Amino acid sequence: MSGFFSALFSALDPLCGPVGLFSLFGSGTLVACGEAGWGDEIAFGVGITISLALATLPVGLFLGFLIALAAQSEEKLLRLATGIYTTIFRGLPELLTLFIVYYGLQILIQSVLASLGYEGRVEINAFLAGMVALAVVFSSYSSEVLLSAFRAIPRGQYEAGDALGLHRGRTMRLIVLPQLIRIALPGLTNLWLILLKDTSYVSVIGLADILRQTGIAARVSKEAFFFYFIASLLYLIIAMISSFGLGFVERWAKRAETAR
Amino acid sequence: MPFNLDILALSPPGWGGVLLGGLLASLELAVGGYLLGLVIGVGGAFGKLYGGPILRDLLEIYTTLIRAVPELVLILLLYYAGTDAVNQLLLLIGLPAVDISGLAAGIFVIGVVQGAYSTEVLRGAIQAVPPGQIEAARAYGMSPFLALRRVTLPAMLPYAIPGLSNLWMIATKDTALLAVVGFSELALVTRQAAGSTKSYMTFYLAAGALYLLVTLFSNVVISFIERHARRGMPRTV
Repeated sequence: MSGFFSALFSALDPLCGPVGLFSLFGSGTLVACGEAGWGDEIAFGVGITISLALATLPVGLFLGFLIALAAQSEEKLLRLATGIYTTIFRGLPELLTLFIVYYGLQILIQSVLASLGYEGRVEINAFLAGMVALAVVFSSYSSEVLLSAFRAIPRGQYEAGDALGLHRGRTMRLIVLPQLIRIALPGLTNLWLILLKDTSYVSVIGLADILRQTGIAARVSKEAFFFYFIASLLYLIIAMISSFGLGFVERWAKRAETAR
Repeated sequence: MPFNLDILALSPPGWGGVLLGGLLASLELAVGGYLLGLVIGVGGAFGKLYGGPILRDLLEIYTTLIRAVPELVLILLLYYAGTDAVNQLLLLIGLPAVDISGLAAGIFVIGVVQGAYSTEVLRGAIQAVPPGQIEAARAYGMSPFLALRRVTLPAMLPYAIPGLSNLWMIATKDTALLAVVGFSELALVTRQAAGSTKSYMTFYLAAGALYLLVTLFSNVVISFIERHARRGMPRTV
């Protein structure tokens, strides 16, 4: 079964498959697939970039949702903590956050293991470090978007939930969340596009994403302009496809609104 | 793990002075890039609103491209390809190639990126100015430039400041990306200091604190500017 799926995926590979961009137009050039060119390496980088962004999104959204909830809680300390969290991670350069997570997590795990009596070297997966750093940044931005969306929902909606005898979880799930998604979607769409671009930072810690692969290709072949141009085009295509897809999501979220 | 703060001392055995030098370079980059971006943004916004169809399309392509491509890719592209292009151009008109300083190239790169974003911010702000005010300036017989200076720019400022202050924060953070092309600003010197002393956490946290200080200080300044720009506006509840 898995063989069938992998065969299907390789047949539908948009870059290096039988009907891929690079295989159709790139043969004989620098971006040919296989041993001759850099096409398959770049295609692998595209896969890493997309999977990193897709893996970060749910984690960051969930964290951001929790932080938005904490930011409007009655507890004063909790509000202060969320304020500090969002100020720090919106104020630090993403690159620095990534370094802190990549090196810091490694040192933290190593010292924890050392105190447990294990003295080996621990190497943190660059993908995992990138995911954690991007999720932290994404959550601090998305919590602000979600918080303002929460504030846009009238109190009467919660009171209606109480009046219907729904408990708080069901009020949240049935009444508040559908409206929240609709209000927050434009802001979250922006954040998704930013996240997609921020994935390029992981190339600095050695993860083989689009930029890393094209950077290596540029250095080896001395064709910097050509390869970075290819990288820009790839990011542009991914952004266009995802804004096309998000248009559908937006229409779906607005299905209950009156047509204007 | 104890933090050894002696390595952050200002004089040479410590790396504090180096970090502060890096911070200064970062700030130079951010200020230069931001100002260049503002100039491009004002021009771009007016071009988009009042320019001809070709200029409008060109500006649309510029803002779309720059905003859809990661800053890191743009920086690599503009930093390497841009300096190369300048030298090719100089060669073409028969001048010797020049060695472009990292600072100038960095300011250029950040300015081009910031210009695309501030074009959009300023365009929205200009559109928020009631058209009657601009028509009134024209009715008084002001030349377009005078109307721009006396009416449009001051009137749009309150609408533009939230967006522009966001852009300033982004500019200060984008300077860290120039570490990748080897410009020795705060992120790069931090990396070097961390690498040579092996105390990664101390230096990254110190750099983080410096960036945070810049942000907090800018917040204070921006709130002053905002209050000044809003002085004629009715108070919102």
